[in-house]
Amino acid sequence: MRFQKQITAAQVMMIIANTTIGVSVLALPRIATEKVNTGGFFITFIGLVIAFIGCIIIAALGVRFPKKTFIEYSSALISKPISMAIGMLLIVYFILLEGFILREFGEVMNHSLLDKTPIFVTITSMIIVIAITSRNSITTFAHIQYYYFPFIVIPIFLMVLISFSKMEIVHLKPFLGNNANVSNYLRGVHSVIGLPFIQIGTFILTIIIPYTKSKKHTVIGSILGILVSGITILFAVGVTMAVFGAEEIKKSLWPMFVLARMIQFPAEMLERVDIVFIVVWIFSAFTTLLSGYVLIAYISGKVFGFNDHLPFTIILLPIVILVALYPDNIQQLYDYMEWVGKGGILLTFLYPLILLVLSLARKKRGDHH
Amino acid sequence: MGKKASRKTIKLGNKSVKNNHENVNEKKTTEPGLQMLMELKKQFKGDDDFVVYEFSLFGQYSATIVYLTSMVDKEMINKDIMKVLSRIPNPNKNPNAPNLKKYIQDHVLYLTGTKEEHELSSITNGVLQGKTALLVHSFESVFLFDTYKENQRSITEPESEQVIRGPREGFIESITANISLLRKRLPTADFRINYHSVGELTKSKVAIVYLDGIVNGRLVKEVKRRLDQIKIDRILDSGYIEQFIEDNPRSPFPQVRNTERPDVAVGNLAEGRVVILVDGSPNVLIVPATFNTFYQTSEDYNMRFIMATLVRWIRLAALLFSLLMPSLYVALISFHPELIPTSFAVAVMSGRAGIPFPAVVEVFLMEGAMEVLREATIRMPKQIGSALSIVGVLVVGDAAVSAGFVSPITVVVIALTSIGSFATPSYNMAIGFRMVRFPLLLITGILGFYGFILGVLLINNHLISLKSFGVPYMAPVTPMNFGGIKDTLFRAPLHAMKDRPEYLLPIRKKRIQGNQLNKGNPLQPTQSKENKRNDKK
Amino acid sequence: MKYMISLLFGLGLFVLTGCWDRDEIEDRSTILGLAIDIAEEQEGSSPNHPSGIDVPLSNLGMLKVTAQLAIPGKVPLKGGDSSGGEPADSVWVVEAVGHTIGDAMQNLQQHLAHKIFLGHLKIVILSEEVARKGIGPINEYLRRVPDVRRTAWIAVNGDDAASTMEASPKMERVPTLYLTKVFEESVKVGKFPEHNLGLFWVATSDKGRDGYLPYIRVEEGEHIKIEGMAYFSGDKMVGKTEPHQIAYFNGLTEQNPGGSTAYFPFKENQGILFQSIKRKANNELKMKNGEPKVDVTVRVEGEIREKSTNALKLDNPGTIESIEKTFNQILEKEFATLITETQEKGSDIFGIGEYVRGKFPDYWDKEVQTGEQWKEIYKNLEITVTGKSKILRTGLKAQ
Repeated sequence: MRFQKQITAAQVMMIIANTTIGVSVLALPRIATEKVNTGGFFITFIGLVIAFIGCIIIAALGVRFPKKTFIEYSSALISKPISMAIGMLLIVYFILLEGFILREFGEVMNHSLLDKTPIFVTITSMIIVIAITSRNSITTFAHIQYYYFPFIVIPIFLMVLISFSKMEIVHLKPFLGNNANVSNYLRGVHSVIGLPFIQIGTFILTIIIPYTKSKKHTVIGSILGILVSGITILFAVGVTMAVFGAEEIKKSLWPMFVLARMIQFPAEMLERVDIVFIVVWIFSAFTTLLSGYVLIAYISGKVFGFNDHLPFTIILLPIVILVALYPDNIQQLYDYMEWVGKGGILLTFLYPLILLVLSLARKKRGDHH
Repeated sequence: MGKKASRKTIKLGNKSVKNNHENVNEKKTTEPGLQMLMELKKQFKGDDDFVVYEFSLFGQYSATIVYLTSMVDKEMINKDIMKVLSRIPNPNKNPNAPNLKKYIQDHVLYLTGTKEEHELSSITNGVLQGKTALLVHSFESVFLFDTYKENQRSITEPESEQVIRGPREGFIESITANISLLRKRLPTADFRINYHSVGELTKSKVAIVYLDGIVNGRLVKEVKRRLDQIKIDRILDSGYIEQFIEDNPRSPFPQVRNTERPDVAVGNLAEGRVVILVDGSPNVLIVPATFNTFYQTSEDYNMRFIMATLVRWIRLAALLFSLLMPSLYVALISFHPELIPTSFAVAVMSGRAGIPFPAVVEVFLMEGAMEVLREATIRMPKQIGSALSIVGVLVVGDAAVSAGFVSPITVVVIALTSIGSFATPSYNMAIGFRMVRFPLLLITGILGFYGFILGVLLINNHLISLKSFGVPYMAPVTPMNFGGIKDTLFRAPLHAMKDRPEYLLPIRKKRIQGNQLNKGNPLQPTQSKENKRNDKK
Repeated sequence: MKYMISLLFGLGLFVLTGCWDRDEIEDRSTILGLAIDIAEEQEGSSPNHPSGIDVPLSNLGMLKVTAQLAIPGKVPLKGGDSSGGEPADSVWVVEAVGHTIGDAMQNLQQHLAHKIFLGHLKIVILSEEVARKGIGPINEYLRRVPDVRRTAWIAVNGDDAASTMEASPKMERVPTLYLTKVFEESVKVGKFPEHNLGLFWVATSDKGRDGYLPYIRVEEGEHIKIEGMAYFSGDKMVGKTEPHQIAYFNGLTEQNPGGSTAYFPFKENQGILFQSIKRKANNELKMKNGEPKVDVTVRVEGEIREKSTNALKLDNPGTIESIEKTFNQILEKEFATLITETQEKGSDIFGIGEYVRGKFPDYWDKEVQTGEQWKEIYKNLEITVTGKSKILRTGLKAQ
């Protein structure tokens, strides 16, 4: 009652950072190195710069319409039917992404901890926890994200720190990679930004902007958020590459996960600290999936003209589970993921860009009233 | 109500209005006081506690006093009321009928808190609260003397919240005594009390206490609003009130803090919280409550800050221990032994060889036994209780291990868990965590470490989404407030905690303005030489 | 309501299906160590394929795995309890034969009631024969099994690997734990480069680098000795160093902390025992006539531990300087020997190829590209080594 329902810059930052750092980061070093070997670090950097630009576009749009949601101002900018149609597309796209991330998470869990538990159980139990949690207000959502942030970022940096002794700088050289030509680079960057960790991270901004304290908070928060997550991801990718080298990374499904399992503290009692990192990966998957779920539920609520998102937290549940169970195996999953992820770039980068250009051209703003 | 009664006819209790109207018409000539007496007698019919004593006032007017024997101070009635009223006054001051009332009030009675009432219902209420009613038969109004005699125990140290360093006073069952304890510590005009009466039968006195000018007005309003909405026949303890006013009654975690210690209540008042006292309950309620308040004690502030911080960490660790240890143990032992060091794993393997149950069942059984033991010892007389706990812990535990029923490491884990929950100062928080432990154990038993983390996620998310009077439960941590962290994870030096908790939105934010202690060295040798010289001069 | 739903859900799951992955720690066949040999005997009946037919073999031929399992209940909980008996009692050694490791492990499972659990695999011992034939198939299996830790150790036994599993050292109740300690401690005191399974795999994967493993031998059924380093070319072992060469390898690859000792002659009949404290190696790569050329400078800082005669006095800076000079020559000679040996076998255990790849990517993309190609180039690579030693202290004795 006495709390202003408003989100601060720090909360915006943590929401974006938590959302961006997710399970897909586990596979990121492999996907980045696949095309250009040691240039993977640079490719990750380019990918993150593009994510940064995407984030800025959405923040800029949001700042122009601080009281409206994405669907509302998009229908003001390009007629309502088109906006609704694209809204539907967005919903489908994010449901696919959410399902695939969920599946990827389930696969990681089943490979690392629970090899006999059916994937259905792993997936369902997680998404139920998420659906329950998503039934809160956006302010509480921000508080939840805020709470998990240190539990995600600090251990990752800890992992980076501990791995420093095993690093070999030569594994990062040459910086641009062997066999690096422009077409390899383009394909590499395309694969990296197609990974589902960036899209949700930038798009979640669209639903939190109406709840942020002020424009300043939105802008600072989103810039910081993408910077923090970018630095964390870059560090993690860099260290993974420096420890393993491009060749070894290509041989493992989730190189960063392997790195976490290689860590050893000097004391014998702490011989196997990877338990800490398993917790981190579950937390980070949770925050990413929660953001995705809340995002879909809110967009759906707006597109289908509901007052709130609550009915969708239940409706979405079976749909997401079905999507997650659709791929037969992990190879197929990564195939679908790349396909959907690459296609989605149009929706998540180009569409907001068009909207921004339109809004600038027509000088339409939503903050005058 | 009340004012209407100044009309000539006496308005009577709702139940018998019709009936009595006839009576009034019929016996218009009889004295109104006598009629009232009859009504009273009718109401208390069959109550042997109800005393009606007729006497003659100043030797010339017929009058009656009425009271409940068990509630009143008889000595006071005899000495201060009967004696003066029965005495035949000096004949030249003989009061005549018209100014009799004024005479009684001004010259005879020396009792404060005397009221004049007209309505039957308020007279009944007064009598029920231990007042003595004087009915002069010719009067329409009735005098109520406050003769209530409280049976209160002396102020002792609360057993549930003992401290090593700090005041030994605790609240008792009497609300007036409790308020006096608070008042004594807060001699400020900002101290505000609002009384409410809750419970149709018990009509318990509930007091809302706050410091005006510090506490946020909207909070007080909300507390009042919630109290007014309570519809129940009885309030026997502040626990009843707590269950009505908490934000989420289905949550296992308490959202209202209670204490038996006046110093805790005063500390919270000064921070901008609202304290609710209930007559008949030594536990006062403090709202809003956030998670951090449940592992803090008043002693934290009496100790020096470094020690207090460390102790606070230990307590927090113990709380987490009591929640997580058994599940973590099960997850590691029966799901993911690869996550424990090899040499330890080999040792555990040896300890568990030949145990008939899986670790989950083993832990469930032992935890269950522990809960039974705990419940048994709580209600035991102290002497038997300690003997029983020794039997339970030592004999049963040891026998279970040597019988190959449970593994020694399980016993260690269970013991740590129990000790952890005892280290939590707040009983209702400790019991919340103790109970949540079981579902967590269950889901860990199904999904292993993954289930364990899912459970922890659920508990965490629930805690974060909880609110106590609109304040997020995890307040100074999330949403973060750096000033609040000083008194959450740490206990900053008192002079460093300059602000009241921000999440309470107090009106006066600053606790203190500038606090620089200037410390001299009076006993330094050089100085004393100077002093000597000064002395010689 | 939320809680009711989740509780009901949980209960439903529990009642309907039970817990899939629950496997009590004592109900697992916890394998602590694994030894892999080339099998001499024939495979018994296999659960994996009909017996008697030809199934494809890896390049290793039939394999024999010998596993050391911890026996629940045999390792005493109390450290001081001496009634536990011989260390060999606390473990159980089982062996099985198969076409591949996976096949052999399944055959091993036939002997065991409980499911094989590799989560506590601390050490993998290969026989020299296996190592020489190529360990690709072994890596393939170990990489794929999620339980196997990269912090496990892998080593080559000069004789047969199975004997390592049966060795029973007196120090520790569980022999494998002792063996792991042997490696870990020698890394800690600087006598062996840190090179566990994970790092070995990294080295094998790198195109410009080859792996090496500790080469051990079991003596009298209880001592385990590090007898040098087995070095690989690709996934095949091609040679072995002498034990003292490990120290020079450590110098060349800048392994710290120092700790290895060298006893060397100084003038006539005057021996000096030198112990390294810190090592520093600097690789300088140059392109000469389109071919890479490497200059390695190794700095070794250390102290004098002992000298063999009283005739030699260490109280003179000049003497110390001349000892340093003598030692430099010895260093250079030993470094060169080691490098030449590995060059002959085509095993770039120093990872020079990686530096070339990092420094001259154009050259690499044009001329090298694959690991095999690099090994050829490495054989004829021009490498010069400069040794620079520095004596920091000479102990408490004044002279």
